[in-house]
Amino acid sequence: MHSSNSARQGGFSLIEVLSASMILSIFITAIGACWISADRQINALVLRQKAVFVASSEMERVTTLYNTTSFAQSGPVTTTGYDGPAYLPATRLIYPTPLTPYSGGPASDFTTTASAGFQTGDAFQVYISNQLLPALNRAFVWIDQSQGVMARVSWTTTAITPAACVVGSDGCGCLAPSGVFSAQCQRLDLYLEYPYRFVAGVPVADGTLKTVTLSTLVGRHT
Amino acid sequence: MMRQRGFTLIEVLMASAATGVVIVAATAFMLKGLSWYDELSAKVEMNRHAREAFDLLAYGGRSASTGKDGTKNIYSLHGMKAAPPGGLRSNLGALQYTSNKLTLTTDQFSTMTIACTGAGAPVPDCKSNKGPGSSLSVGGWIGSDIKLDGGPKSVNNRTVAATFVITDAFEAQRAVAPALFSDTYRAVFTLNRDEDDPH
Repeated sequence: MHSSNSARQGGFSLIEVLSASMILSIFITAIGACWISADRQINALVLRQKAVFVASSEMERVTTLYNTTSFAQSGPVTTTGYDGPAYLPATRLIYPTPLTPYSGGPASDFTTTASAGFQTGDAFQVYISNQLLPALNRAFVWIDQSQGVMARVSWTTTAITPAACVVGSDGCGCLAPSGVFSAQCQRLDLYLEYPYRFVAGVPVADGTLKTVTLSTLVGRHT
Repeated sequence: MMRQRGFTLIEVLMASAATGVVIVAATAFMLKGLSWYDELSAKVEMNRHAREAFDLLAYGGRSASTGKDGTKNIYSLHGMKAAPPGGLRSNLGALQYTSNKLTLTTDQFSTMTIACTGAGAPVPDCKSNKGPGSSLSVGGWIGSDIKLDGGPKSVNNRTVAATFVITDAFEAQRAVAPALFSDTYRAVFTLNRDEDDPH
């Protein structure tokens, strides 16, 4: 009896202990990696939430411009060369710079800038990166100024046909940018692409871009 | 009879050292994991309350009233004719339209006392770590007064820019880096939108 017990008292060898420690370390590292991944996912979620807020904000500004001023007639600048997914248009509209008042608006409807002062300027300014080459013209806004994260904003408009209602009837119809009843509202699709980082005064895409898309109808109200 | 050979002192020491390293690493990971968990949970909650604050600013006030008191234009930013001159917040963190004392309390939690460690720490409203302002009573997720800019950047005087801070005061007061538990959100709202003021 004593002899067989002694034979079983082998214990673990050093190699076995080290192997077990290594396996445990790998396991712990994997758990840590999961936490880091979760952290990134949550950060991405928070950033997307902010991006949605910004997209909603830009939609508010653009629709107010279209609905209450003659901005649609002479304001937007056509830009080309957008290289997103195929289902997104390659030609879009952005704000001009500077944005002069339209149709009786105040002296400054709001501010656009092409200067490096945007980095420390108002969060609601629009930064126009370049006005020389249409393919390079882009409008940027802050998503998270404290983290240096920006988004590229653009939109398209499409005349709605046939007219959705009888021209001039109460609560119906849209004014053309010229102020003439046309009963032809515009469908406005707004695109917000992010994240960009403001590096040395230039917005630079930070990894794979994501796009928030919002749509609404616009047309001048009576 | 087989010889009973045990571990040498070197083997035991090396195995102990290896196991000790693993245990220390595991403990560090677990502590960091708990810290991460608190941070992630707080971010999820802050994100949710940011959405809530956004909706309250846009629509909530309108639905908080019967709309029969003759002042229907001031129940949400979308319904206001002009940006309110003051901040939008009560002293307990709930949204409040100072113009009409309409208080929205859906984002409140039980009131708690925060000991300030300095200006803006651990929550944005802290003024100092001593004297008046060194202790705050908080009961909501709105970290500071909601700033409204209806000035020169307003489109045709029809939009207002709103900036608000969401703070998890409970986590901020026990965190090594309390700034992680406050985040700033910005949005633009159109004033006096027709759909918010049906005739």
